[in-house]
Amino acid sequence: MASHTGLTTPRRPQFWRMVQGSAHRFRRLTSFLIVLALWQILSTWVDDPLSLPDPASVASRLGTLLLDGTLIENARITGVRGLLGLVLGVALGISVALAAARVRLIRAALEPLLILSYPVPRLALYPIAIIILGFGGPSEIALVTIECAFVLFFTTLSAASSIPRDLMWSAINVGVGRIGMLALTARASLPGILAGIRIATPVTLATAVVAELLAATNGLGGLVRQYAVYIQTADMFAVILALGFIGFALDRVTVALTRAAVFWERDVEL
Amino acid sequence: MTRSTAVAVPPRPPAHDPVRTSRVLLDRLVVMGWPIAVLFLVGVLTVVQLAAAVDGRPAYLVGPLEVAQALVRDWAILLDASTVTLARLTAGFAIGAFCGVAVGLVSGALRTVEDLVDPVVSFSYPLPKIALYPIFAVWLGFTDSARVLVVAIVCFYPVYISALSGTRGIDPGLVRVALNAGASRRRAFLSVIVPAAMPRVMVGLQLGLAMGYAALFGAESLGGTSTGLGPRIMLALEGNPFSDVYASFVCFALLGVVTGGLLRFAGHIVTRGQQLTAVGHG
Repeated sequence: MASHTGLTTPRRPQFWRMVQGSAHRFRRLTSFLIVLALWQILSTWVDDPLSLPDPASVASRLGTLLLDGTLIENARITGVRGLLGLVLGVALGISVALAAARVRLIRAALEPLLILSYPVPRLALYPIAIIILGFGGPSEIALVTIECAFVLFFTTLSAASSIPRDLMWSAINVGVGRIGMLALTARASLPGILAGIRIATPVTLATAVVAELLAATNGLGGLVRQYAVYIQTADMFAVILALGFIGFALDRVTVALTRAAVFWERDVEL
Repeated sequence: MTRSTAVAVPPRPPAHDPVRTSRVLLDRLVVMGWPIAVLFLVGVLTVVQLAAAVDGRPAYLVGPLEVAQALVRDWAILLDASTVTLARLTAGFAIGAFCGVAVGLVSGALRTVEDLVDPVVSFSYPLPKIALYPIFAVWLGFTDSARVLVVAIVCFYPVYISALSGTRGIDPGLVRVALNAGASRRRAFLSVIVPAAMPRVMVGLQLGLAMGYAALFGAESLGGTSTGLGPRIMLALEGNPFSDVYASFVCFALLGVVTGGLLRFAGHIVTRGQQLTAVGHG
């Protein structure tokens, strides 16, 4: 590259980039330390373990809850319900979206309604779901299913609508039948679908926890509710922290899985 | 030029072809879009109404007409409750969205800010923020401040993420053109990056609005208040007549639809002139 701009090329560019990279990572790590420090300062200043427990007590409660199995057991309950809801919702959302992508009538009937109703919280139907399906697992799974279906519907439909026309025309010209076209659409929408699954994963966790919070059932959300009612603030903080870790880990796993599945794409852009 | 001696022949009336006519009509309706949706909605409501007239139906199956009756009968109470809910949402959304856009755009511009803010946000993003409401209730009591705070935090996240992403997903050529024309970095940021980031910001705002409503419903339903639409809907669990519950839900839905539409409209104004739609129709 010519340096007509007058800028000199930096000496040993690899080393400088390494230094910049380390400084960058250091700054990112520092932000957590700053939050931790602020927390410690605030909790010492407030001096009320029922309002703001200090980091040490929260950490110790977290350890206790982990060791005695409470966290793991309730995480399993929430996880199973969430996973079931995710799978059902993904299947529902993808099927409806692919049908809408292939059949214009279906799209014309459903898309405007779903776009309009997007800001309406599906959570508001949760009490009705409880009445119909009863407290606990089934109503929560139903809620998670609907939320994931919405997300997957929009992402899949958007992906299916962005397939290059030439691809579709080539297939038609070669004589691919209706089912083949459907399979082609599904295959070509796969990156968008995986991006949708990546978006749906935190939604699943959040919806499951909220459902458990509202209905005071078991699972991680139920734990938070229970500790809130008995004002066991340190335990509540510990569970919330655990939720954060779980969500973070889930996201990393989902990213790795989707990157592996769509290996031919560089960075999956949301 | 010689006059044509052809005799004007009146056009033949089109052959009556019912299949072709209906197909053309259907095509036109599909292209228009919304009539099919309206028809579909009316069809679904009719089915529900008919099912609700059947004896021995479950109590939660209420016909749309009965819900409409409840709406009309309780309109004053529902208007009151809707105003309260809307006020809480607007306050929370305004605070959260404003902070989200500001912090997101600044993070996009200044690497240091991003390094400070982004890790915490990315880590806490999958955490359901409604779980923080009990903590806020301990600090602030079961007041509107706690509820508005939860809504604000919930709205912040998607707006921040999309604002940050918006500053990234810009064609670098646009920025180079501005810099080449002599714009200062601050001018390039304000005049090029911010407007180019707007489409993604608007998407984030829509997401934030939807999540804000959900969070608000959760906060209203977790107790501590009897005003607003949330508690009215939760009354279903206490044996309240379902028509009241559905009427409150319809009000909630109306709030969501209207505010969502207003936001979309504002988005069209803000991103005026930008080419947004994806090209290519499968």
